[in-house]
Amino acid sequence: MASEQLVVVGGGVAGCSAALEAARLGLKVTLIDEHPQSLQAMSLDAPYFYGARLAAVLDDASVISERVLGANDLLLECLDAGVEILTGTCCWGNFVPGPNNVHLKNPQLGVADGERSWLIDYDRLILAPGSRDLVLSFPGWHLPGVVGANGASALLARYQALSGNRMVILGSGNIGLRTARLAVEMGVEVAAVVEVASEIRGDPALAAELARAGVPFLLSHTVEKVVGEQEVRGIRVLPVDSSLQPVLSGAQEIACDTVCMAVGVVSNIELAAVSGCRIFFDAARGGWVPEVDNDFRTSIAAIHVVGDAAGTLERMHLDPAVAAEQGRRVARAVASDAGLLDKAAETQSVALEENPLLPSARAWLRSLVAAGGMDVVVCQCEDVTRRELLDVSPPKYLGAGNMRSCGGVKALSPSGQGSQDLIKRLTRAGMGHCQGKRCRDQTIMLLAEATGTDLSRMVPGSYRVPVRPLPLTVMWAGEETDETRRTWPIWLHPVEEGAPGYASARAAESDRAKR
Amino acid sequence: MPAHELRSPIVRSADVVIIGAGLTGLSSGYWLAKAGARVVILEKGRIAWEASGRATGFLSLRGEQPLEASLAVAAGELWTTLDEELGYPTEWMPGGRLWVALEEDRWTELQEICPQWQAAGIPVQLIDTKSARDIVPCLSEQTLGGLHTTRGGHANPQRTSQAFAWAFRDRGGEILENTPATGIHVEGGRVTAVETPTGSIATSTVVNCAGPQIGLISAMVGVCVPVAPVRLEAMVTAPLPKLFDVAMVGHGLSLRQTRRGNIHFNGGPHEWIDVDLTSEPATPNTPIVRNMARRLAELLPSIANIQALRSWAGIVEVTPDQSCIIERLSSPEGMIVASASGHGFGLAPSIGRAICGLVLDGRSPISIDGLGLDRFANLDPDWRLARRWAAGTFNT
Repeated sequence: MASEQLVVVGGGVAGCSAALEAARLGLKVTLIDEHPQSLQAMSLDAPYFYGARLAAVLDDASVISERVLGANDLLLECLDAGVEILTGTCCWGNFVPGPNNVHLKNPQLGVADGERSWLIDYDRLILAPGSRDLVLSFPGWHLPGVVGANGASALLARYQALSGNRMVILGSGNIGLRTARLAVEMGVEVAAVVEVASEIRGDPALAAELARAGVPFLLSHTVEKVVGEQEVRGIRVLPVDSSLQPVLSGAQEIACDTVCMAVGVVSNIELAAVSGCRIFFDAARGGWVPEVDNDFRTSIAAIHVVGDAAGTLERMHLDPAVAAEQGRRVARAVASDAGLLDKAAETQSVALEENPLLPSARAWLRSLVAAGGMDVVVCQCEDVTRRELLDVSPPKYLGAGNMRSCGGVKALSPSGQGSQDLIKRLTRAGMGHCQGKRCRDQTIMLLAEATGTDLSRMVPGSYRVPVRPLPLTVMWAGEETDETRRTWPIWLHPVEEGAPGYASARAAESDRAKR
Repeated sequence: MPAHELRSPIVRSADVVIIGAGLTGLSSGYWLAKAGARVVILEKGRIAWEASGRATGFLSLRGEQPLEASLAVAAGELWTTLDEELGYPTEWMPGGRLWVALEEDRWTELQEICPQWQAAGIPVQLIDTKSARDIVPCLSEQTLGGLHTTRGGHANPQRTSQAFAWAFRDRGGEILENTPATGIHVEGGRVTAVETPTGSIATSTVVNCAGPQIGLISAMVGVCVPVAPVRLEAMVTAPLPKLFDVAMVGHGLSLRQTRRGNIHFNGGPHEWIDVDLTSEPATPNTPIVRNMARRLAELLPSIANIQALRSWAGIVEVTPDQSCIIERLSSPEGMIVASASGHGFGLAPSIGRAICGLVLDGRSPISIDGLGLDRFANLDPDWRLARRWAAGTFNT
């Protein structure tokens, strides 16, 4: 398989490590990374929750390109090792031959830069698209200055384009502590790390280091609201009691220009899902993840998923060696299959540990609902509140207020109650520009809570191609053949004279006409 | 088919058992329940989770098929008050229908079709480029002309399906999800029960509107309903300000602007498939979505920078002459079959009324003459192969 094509999607630690190791083992490798992203793409909060206040420097493509590539040493190593690298290129689809798609001859990856899209053939695919921010809502979360931890980290380190000086971080797990450390390093003051639990969740040593650097921790607190009209000017927080109920008398306001949601991260499974890889719920990996074996091979043998996209573990936030080793392990498996390496299938499973992400996210959500009430918007794109979501209200633009109430989510059929897609169809929560990246996780958690369904039994919303919003002019098939144009059907090629089988169909029809 | 012993005990009874909770089944169930019948709808998967929720959302006028024109007229009337009738919004937009041509041969076709449709009683007229662009301001300057009618419109398939499901529930109807029909019991030439994995339901009337599975269900009682399932693709853009109301067909796409403002479009090459009795068929998208995006951009060049947000695929069944099959069978007595051949969305309100009449009175209040199975009496058993509609064939 040495001459065959390995494509790696994602230029983070896992993807770069896989590409580098594969190239060293003699494979022909192409690495695709969507960074540096265009401002338009970033404004849709994909892949990270960047929030709505991006620095003006992002308009300068050449400066940004230099910064983003310069900040990624592993990517430069890949370049030296002979990996073909496509930066600023997003992967928006993956088309795999299979049931009811047998005419497709070989798998094809859909990619696009800012101007055009094209298809890439591959023999083996390693998906390493990382994770996105788990975003929860509170009053004012739509304001410029509210960001996610992944978004803040990318803006601070890679793009050097976070326009803020004083940050409040929500969440004290490793992702929160890591973001606090990065902020301090980059000269951003951390006004507080707020945690709904009664103790710091992340690494004690790092927490102690941050405390020594003057970072205050506010435990057993939740968010009442963001303060500010046009952008973040501060945040009001409330203490919570042992049952997560807010204690209104303890409210305090903290001045800040940036609020960073660091409750947790969620695996980016959309490419694996649209490829048809089997997805399952695994609390130990942080939620819905692709089914993988010890070599990170999915249910589709030609596709591997590695790094955060295969499950987010707490220690991965602090130790890049975990993702790096996963990447190398996949590369060795691919090289072994190609006969380039004598290696038995990996028997050592990926170490699983207690993953506090989902219980913690649930505690945050409960406290935020108790503090903020039911009229907080959960879907920014389509303007859907918590109440409208759970009431399964038709969207406001229909003006259907005088029509019958369906009785809310609990009155849906049993399978409807567990279906994020059904609620999405009826309320439009998750239907908008950001393709659900901002509301998907809180929506399904709210639905699970409201119906008393364990999260593992919910059916999460499906993922759809393109997994990044793509302008029609970019998605556009530039290489369309004359054959495709000539044979483009007009509604199933209506019964045509001379077509095989035409005679019997038409004879039947004329019989009827006579009668 | 000879009578056989029930494989599972009778656990309940109903006046009518409908097989398939797609739009045709839900509409039939609604009108029957409203008339006081005790109705159970069996659904192998989930309510309106396949073709009905994935449809274009057009009311088809059936100009090319005059035998269906009565159903189309009746549906058009029912749609005007359907929200009030059901109690839930369907997003019905009575914006008329426009076919446009960007190429000479298509324009010639529209000019030929126009008098035929007028003769069939459909008030269409040919319009020039300027008039077409008055109706759809973002339409390509390459447009050669169009065929327009103020009749017809479009609605939201997902909301409409759920509206019928809720309205059916409100009138006492019951839908059993994840409950496929696995057998139909016939005694003395009459339907007596439907078998499911959780027990049999005694009934004297079965309505088979199982969509792509209609042939497999009919075969249980020895009746051949010839259909070929096919997979089609659709897409939607991000929302835009309101541009046009009309349901449009042109440049190889069917498209509408939703009430929210998204452009919903479908069309393009398709793959013929097979289905089985109990599972939900796979509905993958293909690289064709890029060609669909290009066609929409060519048709509406001034909005070509809008983002595509989602694509999906769905499966419909197609009859040999691409017309509906609606019939109350004489053998076995008590069995009704209904397929809308892939254009059932807009006709669903009236097809449901027709079926309700067939069940309660033995006759449809709307003409369904000529839509029976007898027209296929001499159909070649290998018709799908002959037509190149057998599973695995592409875009034929």
